[in-house]
Amino acid sequence: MKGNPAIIVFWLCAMLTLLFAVCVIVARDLVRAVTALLFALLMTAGMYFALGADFLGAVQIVLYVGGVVVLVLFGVMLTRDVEMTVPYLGFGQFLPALIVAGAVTWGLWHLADFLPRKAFPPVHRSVTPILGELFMKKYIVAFEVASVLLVGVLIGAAYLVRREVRREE
Amino acid sequence: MTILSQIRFLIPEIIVSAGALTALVANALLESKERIQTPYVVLVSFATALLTLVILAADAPQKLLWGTYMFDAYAVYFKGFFLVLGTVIALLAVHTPSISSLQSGGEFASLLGFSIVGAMVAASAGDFITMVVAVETVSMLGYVLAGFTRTRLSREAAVKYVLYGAFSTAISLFGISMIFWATGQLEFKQLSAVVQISPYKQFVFAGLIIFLTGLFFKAAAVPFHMWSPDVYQGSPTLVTAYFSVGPKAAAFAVIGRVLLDGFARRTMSVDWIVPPGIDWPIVIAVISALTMTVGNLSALLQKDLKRMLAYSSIAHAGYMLAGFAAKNVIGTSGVLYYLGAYLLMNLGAFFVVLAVEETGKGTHLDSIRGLGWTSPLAGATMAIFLLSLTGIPPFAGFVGKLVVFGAVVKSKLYWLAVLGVLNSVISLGYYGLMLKKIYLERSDEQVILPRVYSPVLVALAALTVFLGICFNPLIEYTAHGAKLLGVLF
Amino acid sequence: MGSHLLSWMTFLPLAGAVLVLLVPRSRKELMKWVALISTLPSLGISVYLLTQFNFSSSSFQFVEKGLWIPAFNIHYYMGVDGLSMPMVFLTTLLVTICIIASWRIDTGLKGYLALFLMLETGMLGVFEALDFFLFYVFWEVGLFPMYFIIGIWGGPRKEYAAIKFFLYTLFGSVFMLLSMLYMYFTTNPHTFDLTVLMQSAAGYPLRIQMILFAAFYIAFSIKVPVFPFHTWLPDAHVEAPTAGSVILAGILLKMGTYGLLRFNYQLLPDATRAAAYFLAVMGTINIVYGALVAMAQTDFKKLVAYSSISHMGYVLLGIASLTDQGIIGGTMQMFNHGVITAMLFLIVGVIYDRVHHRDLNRFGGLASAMPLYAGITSIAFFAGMGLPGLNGFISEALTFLGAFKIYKILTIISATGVVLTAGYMLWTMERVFLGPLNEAYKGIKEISAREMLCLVPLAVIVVFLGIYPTPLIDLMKATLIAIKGGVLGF
Repeated sequence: MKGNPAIIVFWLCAMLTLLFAVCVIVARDLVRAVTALLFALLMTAGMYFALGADFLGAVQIVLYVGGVVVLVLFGVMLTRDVEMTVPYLGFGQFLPALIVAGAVTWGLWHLADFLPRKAFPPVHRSVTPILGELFMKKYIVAFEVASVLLVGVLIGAAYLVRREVRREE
Repeated sequence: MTILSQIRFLIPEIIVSAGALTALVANALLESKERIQTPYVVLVSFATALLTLVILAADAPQKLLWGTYMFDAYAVYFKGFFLVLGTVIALLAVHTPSISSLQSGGEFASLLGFSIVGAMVAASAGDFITMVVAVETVSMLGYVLAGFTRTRLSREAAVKYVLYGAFSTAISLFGISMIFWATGQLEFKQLSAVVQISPYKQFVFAGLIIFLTGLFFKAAAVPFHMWSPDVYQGSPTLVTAYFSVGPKAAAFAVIGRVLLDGFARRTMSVDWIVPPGIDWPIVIAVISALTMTVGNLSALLQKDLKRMLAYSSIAHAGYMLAGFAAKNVIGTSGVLYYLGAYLLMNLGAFFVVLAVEETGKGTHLDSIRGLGWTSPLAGATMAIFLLSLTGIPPFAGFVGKLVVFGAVVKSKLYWLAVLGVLNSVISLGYYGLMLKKIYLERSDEQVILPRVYSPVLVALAALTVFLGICFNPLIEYTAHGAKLLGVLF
Repeated sequence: MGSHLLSWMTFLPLAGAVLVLLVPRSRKELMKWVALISTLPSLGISVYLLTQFNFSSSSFQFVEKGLWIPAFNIHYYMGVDGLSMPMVFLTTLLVTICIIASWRIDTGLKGYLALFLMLETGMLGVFEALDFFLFYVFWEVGLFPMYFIIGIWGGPRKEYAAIKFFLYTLFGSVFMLLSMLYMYFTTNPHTFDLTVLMQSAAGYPLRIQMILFAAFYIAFSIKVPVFPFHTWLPDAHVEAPTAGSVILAGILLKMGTYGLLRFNYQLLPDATRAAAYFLAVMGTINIVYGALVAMAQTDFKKLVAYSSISHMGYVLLGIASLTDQGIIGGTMQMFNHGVITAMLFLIVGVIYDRVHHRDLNRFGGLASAMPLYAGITSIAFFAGMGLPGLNGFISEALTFLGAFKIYKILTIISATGVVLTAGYMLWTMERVFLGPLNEAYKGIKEISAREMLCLVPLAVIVVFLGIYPTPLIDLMKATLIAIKGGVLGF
């Protein structure tokens, strides 16, 4: 187990993901929050790479880092009338959230004790062709439904941002 | 079978998808005046899909596409359920002024159609991946529908729904990853075998609970329900009516299949056997008890009809969960039957509220004052829906409760049964309040129902009565659907 | 068998309700006639069944049985025996009378008549159903028409009274529902068939029987109503329209004691033996408490309502004694009280229609203005008091005869109830009819022919059964002795 660089990369990415995720919540400025989000997503991609899921990592970068976040940034910068600062959460909301989060973390930590320490999965070959085949065979329904989902969401997005049509008498 | 020959069983979904796309295209081609009619396109596709579904049902059960897609009676029942729901909603989308005046009938119809496709696939999903994508389709399109009227309240509902929806999906996915980690399986039917002998039961159980938490959010079960009254109230009422039945039923279809197919087995005995160490029935029982009690008690305090019905639908989710907690065939068939009854009576109640709202009276409790006198038809049908929701015979809601609680008694969860029936009495508190407003108070304002509402309400009420008296065929079919869960074939 | 007379009798009123709904809104007279005529066949059938009834048999007669819901082995199973036959007859009679008594209802007439007819179907079904599921359906079907009848056509506090009635009864019946489900799932093969359950349920250990008994008791004692569940009754009675009160007191209360005899007694004999003393105590409390509270009333209708509570106590005391006289006396009291109380409520209705209040202190001397009315009222009052020669006497005397053998002290306490009853009844008579005529009511109209038409048949029954009770006793005897034998185990 020791000396595997992938493990080090994985842990590093995991920690940084958490760190940036916290930044997203704590940041009061919308632009900063989105930037932190960008890094959090990037680090997630790093975790995928460390685990050998290169395709997933690539998708993560192209879609989330490249697409979604940049779009959000554009959106934030283009809209002037949006309040750029986010209000602080009150202590009354923060505390219960902290308690629940703490309890879940504690629970999961202890659950991990029940698991054997599996060896870090060695990945030698690219999973992309396997994924492609799975999507075209076993998971074809999921694949097709995903496209239905995307078409639907596209329509919805187009509808929601469209300017209100002046009602005709 | 080749993939192509297996795709045959997806024809209903394909028809609906095609209908949804056609509606969109039609919307672009038609004059703005004619756009109001576009939901008819998707309505026709629902009806056609229903027809093909009936034909295909003869070949059930089928395990398709390497176990990712189950075409069994359980799935057929739910698919039929969603198609009927879609038909009714599409019909009213044409005739509800607040929706049709937006002149976006095509968008509404296609969103509805895609959402129904998602729900239909969710009913068939045989593994976690297909299931997640399908459920997400229902949710995502729901977000858009919630914001459809683009009023402030409607937008707020949409945003709230998005946030909670995304959150719950993330939780569910996390749970699935845990289950997958420990078992290496994503397919429900295979899972049940692996779980039996898995050495990591605690971990699997924790994963299951986390996964269920996400679904409880979607089904609006207590304590994960807080989003639903706001979303239900803010969304356009027609969409609320759809939310209270469609996504909820999809969540139930998935919960049932995951629990009974993936985490229980059934052989010749009538009851499901839960793998030792993974005692989900008690979890479901507790959530069920909480859901019905909190839902009913909160409903008592409401002054707005939509919020009241929102809490009432939470309470009904609680009753239905009790059927799963009973982990016997009667209970599961009871859940399915209950959903059918719930479709009729809950849609009916929402439609009456909608009809009143369309006359410009709002959705405050007082808006239905004297409805029994100003609009005898709306009043009488509403009375039937309310009595049925309370669980008074001879209406369908009573039979649903009877079967579910009977199953609970059978599995010796007496505390849950007692709580359930007491909740029915509590629920009379607010259903009775509505009845009182409708019949015991008077109003002079005339209420004229929008077109098509009268026949729809009468049909729903007639079916509510019919299913309360002649429930044998439906109950037998639901039992037939329940029986195959947890059985390898 | 094969003639489906019970079904015809039960469902013709429902068909009548549909017919009434189809009559155009403006044709009020036609509506009333349709309603009246659709109750007559049922009355006719019940009289015909009385003539065909085999008095010597304790088993169910005119039985109809058909599979209804095969998935749950639910049957459409109807039949009558000596316990239910008198109640069936009483139901058909009182509903017909109620329609006549409601001739002057004007608002929402169509709904009113339709609900009454639906109610008749529900009530008849309760007395005839031999399948537990079917029974439950009928039991609850009787609920919401009554809710609307009280709530829409009732007095000033009708909303409160209506929902209270609904909530109390629903609360009681859900426990019955659970017991029913328990019994269903513990018999093998699962069945709702009461005749089968009567055989198998007796096999439960006493602890289980007691729990089931308690559940049934809650359901039925709310309906009777037995102290302390009685509080809905005065509200419901006072606010209900006259005909509603008649049905409520005449039939619906009897559904409670009928349920006790049919379910607690016949299904759970061991628990019944164990709880008999408790039932007798509750009966005594009802008799004395009801009479005492009745005495304190100034509202005529409330007084009659509390007298109902008191009189239903005799039923409990009688059937709790588990002696031949007691159980026959108690069950006779069900029928007799149904007739007497129906008269009393009609009488209150007559005066209320004329003066629009029910305050006993504001009447006086009406005997001189309305001699006929005073005459028929006195028959009802004397019957209520248990005066010999009228039907109330027979059933009360039999009840005490039977109860005294077993519960000496309780019977003696209950006997004070008779004195109290005589007290408030006579005092009421005095306040209403005797003394100088209240000036305000100089021109008060004498009882009309239509009102007499309602009261006279009942008065005839009161007098006839007071002089010659044998037909009623013979009708019930075989069945009740069999029920008693079942409880006592021989």
